[in-house]
Amino acid sequence: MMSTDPRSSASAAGHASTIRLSGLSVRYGRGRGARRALDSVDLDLTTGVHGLLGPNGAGKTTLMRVLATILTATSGEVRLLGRDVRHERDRRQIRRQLGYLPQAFGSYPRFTVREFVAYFAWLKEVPSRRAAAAVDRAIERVGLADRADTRMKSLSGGMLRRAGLAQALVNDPDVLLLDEPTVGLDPEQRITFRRLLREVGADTTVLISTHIVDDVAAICDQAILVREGRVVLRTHPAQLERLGAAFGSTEDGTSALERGYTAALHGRAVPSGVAQ
Amino acid sequence: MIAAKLELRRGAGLILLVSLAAVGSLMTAMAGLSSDRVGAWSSSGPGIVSWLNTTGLVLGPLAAAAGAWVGGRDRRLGVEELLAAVPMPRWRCDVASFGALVAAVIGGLLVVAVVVTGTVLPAITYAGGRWQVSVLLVILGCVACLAIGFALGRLVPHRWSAPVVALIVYLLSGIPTYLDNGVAQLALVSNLPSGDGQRLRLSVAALAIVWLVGLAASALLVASARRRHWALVPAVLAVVAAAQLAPLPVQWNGNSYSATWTEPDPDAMSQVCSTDEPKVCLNAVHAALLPEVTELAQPILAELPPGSVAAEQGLEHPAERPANASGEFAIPFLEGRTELFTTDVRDPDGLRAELADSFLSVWCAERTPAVSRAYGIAIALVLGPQAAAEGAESQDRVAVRLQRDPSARRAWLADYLKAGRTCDLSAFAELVS
Repeated sequence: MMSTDPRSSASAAGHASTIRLSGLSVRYGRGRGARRALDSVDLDLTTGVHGLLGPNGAGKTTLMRVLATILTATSGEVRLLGRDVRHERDRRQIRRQLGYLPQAFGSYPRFTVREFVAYFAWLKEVPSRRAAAAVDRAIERVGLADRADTRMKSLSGGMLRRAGLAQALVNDPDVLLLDEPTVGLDPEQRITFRRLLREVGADTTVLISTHIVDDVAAICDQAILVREGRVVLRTHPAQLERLGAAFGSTEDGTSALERGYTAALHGRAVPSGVAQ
Repeated sequence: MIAAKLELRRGAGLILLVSLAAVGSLMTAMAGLSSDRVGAWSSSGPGIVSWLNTTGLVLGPLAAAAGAWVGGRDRRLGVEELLAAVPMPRWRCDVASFGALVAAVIGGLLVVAVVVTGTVLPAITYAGGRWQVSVLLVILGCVACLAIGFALGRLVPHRWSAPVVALIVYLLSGIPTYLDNGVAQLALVSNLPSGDGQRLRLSVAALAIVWLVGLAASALLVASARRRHWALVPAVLAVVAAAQLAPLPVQWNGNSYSATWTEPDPDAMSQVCSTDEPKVCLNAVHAALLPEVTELAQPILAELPPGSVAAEQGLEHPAERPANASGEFAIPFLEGRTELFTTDVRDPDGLRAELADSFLSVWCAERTPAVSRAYGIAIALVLGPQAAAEGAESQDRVAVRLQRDPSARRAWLADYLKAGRTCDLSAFAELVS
């Protein structure tokens, strides 16, 4: 890892890690055809919003799936909320406190939004006495209150993603994992969405995997760059912007943030005063 | 509970319930309209269950299709990734979904049963015959179809799985009905032998329950359990039960196929008699037919001398024993004589002719031309010249003479019955001379 963000270190000092990865490796396939999707990843994350950036095939989705306890690590240790995901009882407890929105997900077309979210409240073992209020709150938080009784099959792509986010939020998770959450959202929805995530991130560890660096800049306390299965940089988005300002030009229409991201991916050093 | 409710309201549960109810009711309506079905209706509780069992041939495959649809739904819709990250164990989700489908199956069958029962309630005169056991087996058969469909849908989550599974279950249930061996009875639906005055043997029903529950449980465990090898336990139980059932011979006992699955129902065979003379008695299972059969039998019996016959005058025969003695005046066993879902006799004229034949048949080893002619005259006399107009004997000079003289007619019929009981060939010759 090239660098870490001082603010992240500070927050880590103040809070216990909710996500802790040690030497995490994930390999697909066997023998000569085996491919290493994650390679000795070490990561500590605390409360706040964290952006996972990286090119296609870098291992972002694999990392999200490991954290969502869906995919088993080939080696290394994964601890979420102080529990080891390898133990079944711990895993179940973790999942009660986990919200996950995958990159691609389906829904039950005949369910209404409310029924869809209520179903996931049940699946997440939200106590029945709290479930109805939790469902209403989650739907309201994603701005779908006026569509609560609309069937899922009638929703637009952006609304579907918001319904997906509502199911992720319904159990008031301590860890929220969002894979490409802003795809399909229009600019206004994206602004609302960013506001919501900042609000959620006040007391929750949110990890967002995305290609959209502007989202990271707008929401995240920390950007984590992944390349070829390794975490190559942890920094504050503002530092990425500074890195971008130091490399390239604005003539090609790219923003400083994008240039900073590209530069960091290719091993350019973060400006002094940023690197640890 | 919420999942089961949602499945019933929004998922395949509601569709399954409505489909089963609609198809079962449609089959009932179609069968009722044609009104020429034989042997499925006896104005009784078992008659309704027998009909439910028949509808299982279509309702079972429907249930299997719904099971396959729901079993493969999560993967087909792409919800599996979301479901994989929830704390609720997969089997509990499946139990909720499957439970809703089971409720839909029971609800659908109940609607069909209510429709049939509601339509024919005045026509039901017997409610014994262990119909509850038969209902249980019909439901379990459909639930087993559901479970097998669910497992196949889970293993092959393709949109074509449901119709393919329905077709397979239909063929596997339908084809064995053409086989006359015990393996046919292992079909999941439409497999129960039924006959008036018969009931399922409890020992066989218990084995059938183990077979169906074992099959359903092993299918569900294959579909849902983390440790699929647990499915071996119910599978072994099912195989053991099937091994006991398959060798049971299938045979016709004059009432139903597969006598080894059934036994006589004494309550169904108890006598229900008319109050006026000459007395006509039917088996309790056919009590609904008593008024109409009495109306047909009494004019014939009135022509016959009351003192000339044995105690079974005007008595319906039990299923197991065909009439084989002259002068018994036995009413033939009436299974299949009712128009479907009514208390009306199918073909009353035919039944009247059969009653006359049953009362007047001669069971002698030697059947000379005189015996045959005397029999024809006797039939013409009791049915009257109009009813027996097609027979040559109605024009017989002896018959014509006797029809004009009631006292001579009764005396002739008394002599005829006496000759029949004693097989006195010379008496027959004298009767037609």
